[in-house]
Amino acid sequence: MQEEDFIRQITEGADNPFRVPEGYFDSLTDRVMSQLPARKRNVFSLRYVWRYAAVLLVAFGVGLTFLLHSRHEQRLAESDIELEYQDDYIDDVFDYAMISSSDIELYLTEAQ
Amino acid sequence: MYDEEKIVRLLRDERTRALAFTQVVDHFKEKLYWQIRRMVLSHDDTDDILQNTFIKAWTGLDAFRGEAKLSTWLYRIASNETLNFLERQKRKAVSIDDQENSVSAQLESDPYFDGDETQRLLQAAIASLPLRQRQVFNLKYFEEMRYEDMSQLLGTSVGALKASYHHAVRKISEFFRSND
Repeated sequence: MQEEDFIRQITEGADNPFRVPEGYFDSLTDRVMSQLPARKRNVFSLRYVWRYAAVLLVAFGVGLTFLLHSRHEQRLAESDIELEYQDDYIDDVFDYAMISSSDIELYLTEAQ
Repeated sequence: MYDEEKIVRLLRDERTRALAFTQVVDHFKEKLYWQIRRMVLSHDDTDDILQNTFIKAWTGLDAFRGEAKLSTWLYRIASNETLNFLERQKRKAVSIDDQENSVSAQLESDPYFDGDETQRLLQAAIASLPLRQRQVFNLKYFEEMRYEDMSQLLGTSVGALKASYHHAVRKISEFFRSND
């Protein structure tokens, strides 16, 4: 590269012109190490404990409400089924005894 | 003897971290110092930037995942610190002429610079380059760094680095010819 050669020719023989104070590099490591800040440890902050506890409490509350609500729904459905079974059972008993509703009505009228 | 793999392992352990970091500072201090000094010129500014570099490296050790080499990671921190410093300095300077004159005057009165007129002119020419070109020129011309290694350090393609270096050399030649 011609232009690079040109620069090298002009600055030929010139060593590094920059200097450092005497003993600078010898004391540098100690100086740097003495200025390092203490590193932050990963302490589990109490503030985060409260936040996690609050989130867990809300989640628990929502879960509990959902559970109770679904149990209540289930119970209502079960009681409907139970009543249906009872009606069916009485009808079956009457059928088995061959007693119709009109027979019962007649019996009650005669008894008076 | 510096063993990067061992040092990285020791840096990850809280009990051996400080001792390992002492070795890191010891190993990289001179190399980083000269890379910063060639950019900012003043010893005092270099000293400040170098110490900030090591402090940032220390506080950010958890961010070092070992994907890049430790030297690359440290150089990037030093490079960012240097560029931030120069950007701040540039905002303070009124014009480019001011910058060139101030570089020459600054070096003339600097007790830690003993170059002649040509050396002062060369530094003023380098200081007139855009920051990225200045960085590339210093790494290639003075450190004789390979473009591939430079590409890793600066996160720029080899082609772009070659173009930057070419532009920098041309501008510095023109600077010298215009000051003849």
